[in-house]
Amino acid sequence: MQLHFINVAGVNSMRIKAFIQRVGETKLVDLDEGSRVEDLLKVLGISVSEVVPVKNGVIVTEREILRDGDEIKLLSVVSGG
Amino acid sequence: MVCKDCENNGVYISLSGRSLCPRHFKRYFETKVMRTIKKYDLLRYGEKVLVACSGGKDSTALLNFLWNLIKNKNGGIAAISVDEGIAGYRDIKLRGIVKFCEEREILIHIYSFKEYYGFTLDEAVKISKENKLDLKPCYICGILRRNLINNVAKELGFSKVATGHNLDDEAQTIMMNYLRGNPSLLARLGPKTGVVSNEGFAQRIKPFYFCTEKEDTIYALLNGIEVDFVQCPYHVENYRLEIRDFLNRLESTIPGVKHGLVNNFLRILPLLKKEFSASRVERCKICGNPSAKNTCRACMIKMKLEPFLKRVD
Repeated sequence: MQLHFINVAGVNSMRIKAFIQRVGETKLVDLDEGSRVEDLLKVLGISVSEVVPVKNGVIVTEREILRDGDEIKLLSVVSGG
Repeated sequence: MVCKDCENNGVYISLSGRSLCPRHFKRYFETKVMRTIKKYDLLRYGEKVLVACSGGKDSTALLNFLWNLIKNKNGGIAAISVDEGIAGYRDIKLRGIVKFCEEREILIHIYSFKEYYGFTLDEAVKISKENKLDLKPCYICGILRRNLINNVAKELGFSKVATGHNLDDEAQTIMMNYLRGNPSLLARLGPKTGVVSNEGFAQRIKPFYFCTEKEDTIYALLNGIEVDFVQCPYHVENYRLEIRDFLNRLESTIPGVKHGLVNNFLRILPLLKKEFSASRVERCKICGNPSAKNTCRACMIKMKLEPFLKRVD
């Protein structure tokens, strides 16, 4: 599996592992501490209405605050056919 | 973010900014669907409904909802799935819906293009490309699937066919027809389809009409329905894909734009229906189904493909 790194963080950063279901890719994203799911989506260029975020196995909203080491699955709401 | 109505964590934020936990989200979703059913008179007590299931999350969630609503009442409910013959796609989707129905003891009717029409969609697409017939995969698939489901519904005595179409689907279809200048096709949209009541058609209903694709997905997940992502190989050739991405980009900058598009469309829909209700509905000279022309589109497709079918065998 290929991992992609994205770093948009300042001094106090945290690392998030994001799996994007629609393209089947996992990305490691460095964000500022206190960032929310919606900030992650903005960095990844994904609209809030296109995905359901699942953090550590639980569905969360785009307002959820992320912590260092969180694993986020971005389930596609778009049908494949 | 905590639920607006209790102390639990939210799973969804509505357009009005309300955060909802799983329990309150389910209540919000189901209330919206029940309001749609009542407001647009989609289902009546004792009616038999056939749920068209692709194996995707929307139609599976709809089957789950209607099954819970109807199973202990008079009337009847069953599922129908169509195997168009798309290698590596529909076979995977069908396995999921069959398992879902088996677990709940829901009657499911499975039909294939190969048995019903004599060719798979893959074969039809190949013939069309090789012989420059200009039949797009989604056109062949959509027309033949609807034709098959309508015929089966009539044969089995179902008065309604329920589909998992949601607000996103409807917004895309409205936009596609506006841009292509197809007002007569716009008149066929809405929560309950059809311009002219006709005994040749089983009425198609869309109980999830006002639910977004995201809401459908969350509802499916909360009901233990698997949300996979298997892409149809013909998807890339789809005009709908471009419209969908355009509307999603617009929704990010103007939240509620899809709701606005659909709600405003519903205000002009009665005028469109009035304008096009005068259209005469004829009978297809080949199959006898209602048709705008003397040969229906399903029979037209079959006629175009027929001369080349022997080469596939």
